[in-house]
Amino acid sequence: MSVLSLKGVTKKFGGLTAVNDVNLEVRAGTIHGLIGPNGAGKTTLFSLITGFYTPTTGTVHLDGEEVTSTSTSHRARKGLVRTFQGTVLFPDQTVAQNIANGMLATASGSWRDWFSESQAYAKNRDHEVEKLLQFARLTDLRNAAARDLSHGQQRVLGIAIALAAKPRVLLLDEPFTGMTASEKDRLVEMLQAIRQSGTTVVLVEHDMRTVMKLCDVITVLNFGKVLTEGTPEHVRRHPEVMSAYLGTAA
Amino acid sequence: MTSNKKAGFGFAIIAIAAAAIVPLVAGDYYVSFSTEIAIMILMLSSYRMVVLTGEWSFAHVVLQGVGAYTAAIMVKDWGAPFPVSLVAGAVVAAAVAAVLSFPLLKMRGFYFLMGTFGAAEAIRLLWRKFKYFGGTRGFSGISAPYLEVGPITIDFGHPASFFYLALAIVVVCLLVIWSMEQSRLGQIWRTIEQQDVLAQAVGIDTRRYRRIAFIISAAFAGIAGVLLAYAFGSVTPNRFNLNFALYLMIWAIVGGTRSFYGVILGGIILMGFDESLRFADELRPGIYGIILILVMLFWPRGIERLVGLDKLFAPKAALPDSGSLAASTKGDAR
Repeated sequence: MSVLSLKGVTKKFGGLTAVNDVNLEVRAGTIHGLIGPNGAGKTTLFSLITGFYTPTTGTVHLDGEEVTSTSTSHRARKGLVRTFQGTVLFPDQTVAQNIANGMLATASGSWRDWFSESQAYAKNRDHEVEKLLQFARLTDLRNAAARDLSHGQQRVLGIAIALAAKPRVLLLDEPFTGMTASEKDRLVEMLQAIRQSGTTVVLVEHDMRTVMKLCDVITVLNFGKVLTEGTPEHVRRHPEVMSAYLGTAA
Repeated sequence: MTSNKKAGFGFAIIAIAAAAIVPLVAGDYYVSFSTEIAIMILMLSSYRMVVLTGEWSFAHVVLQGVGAYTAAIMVKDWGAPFPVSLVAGAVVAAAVAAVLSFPLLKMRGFYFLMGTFGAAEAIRLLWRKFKYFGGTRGFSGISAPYLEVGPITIDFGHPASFFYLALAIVVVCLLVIWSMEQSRLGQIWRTIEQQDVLAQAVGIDTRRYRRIAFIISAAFAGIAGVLLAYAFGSVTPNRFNLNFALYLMIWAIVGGTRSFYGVILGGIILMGFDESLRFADELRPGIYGIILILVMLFWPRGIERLVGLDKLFAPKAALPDSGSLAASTKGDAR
């Protein structure tokens, strides 16, 4: 069953069609990769899924509910949470607070939370923060300011913040960029564990080797259209994929 | 309760006690002046709620004016008792802010600032131009509240008794503001100020929460306005002009908006400073300019940093180095 589905999604900027009639079905519990050469429309498609853009035509459904023109924050509360290409964090706050901020909008609560924090909320939050600190291997850095972390740690923290919002679909925007080999291996393990826990992962990524290793399904975009879609094996053997990347005649 | 918090409460109680002694040791003039300081502290603290979301506004003083005018009209036209006009002032100011929030909060940063300026001037012109609002002379002769409980009558027309009344109301308001800042709401405001897009990505409707901050802060400004109307016994449009909006902003910056007590300290120090400059009225704007530039150059976080107490009163959302999050929240469960 598909947890995220795009039907006939087109996005035009003036005369330029950045995304052209894209159909995409993301099955629940998979890691789904979006790849393609520069300018293929990956980032635009990502923005359409997260609600940063509204499609010119077509629809976006999350778990069967149409979210085509709803805000990013609304989609997040419905379970679609994104991370950012750069290291977008709460830089002045500690690692633990960064993670705690991730659940401010999605954890249950009542209007009384406006005046005082309930013990139940605080207890649940501390428990969740503790789990995510361990998962992200940031426990020792819990009291460090987010801006003092290394690049790789900041990327992982960004994912931990997103996980605190309890997403059903986690959208990652080039998560492996700028990571060392060992950091990449560690993140691959993390993402596999996230899939294991039942969260669907969609990622836009340049690093082909990692994508091939990690993803269950890969959608290849070229010139704003879906070139092909399938298992890593299928994509690797597809002749047009090679030509799209290398620019040779098909 | 953490030791920081204990110290914070200790200071707060000492400060309230010190304020309460003023009428016993000072003359009426200084008691009235202390009332003004208390009202200004409420203005600055409520202004800070908007600043927490990352916005600066020129409308806060005019929203105070909405409270003051509401009280004046309630008293003059309907003879409403003080508690009624107090509540009405807060409600009407919040309602005006709610209406303004629809266009204004579509903007951010500089555009929001300019938008609040436009809205504030428009409201002020309404007061000046319409007879209903008393024109340029506003209202005067707002009689002091008095309380009758059985045989006891307290006349708040006396500066000392009105000071105690204002102090009690301001302290209650500050407690509410403080606990809101500690709550989930306050933490959400901070995330919006720090990283708006990330806040949205984890589900925070940033415009909605900026709107909430704007409206709640207006309610407190309205209360400050009601107190001002009764304290002076009069309301004029010029009391809420751009000068006062600028002073409010300067005082908030100089005091420091990072911590709860920064603006309070700034309010007390700068009101005192302002008063001591009374002999050189022409120089005041120039001196303010110099202070503002010096503070922004050398202590960008304001007096709160200079005094070095900025860890005190710090909300737990900004306690980076005091043990684990778990430990500090456990202590906070009162």
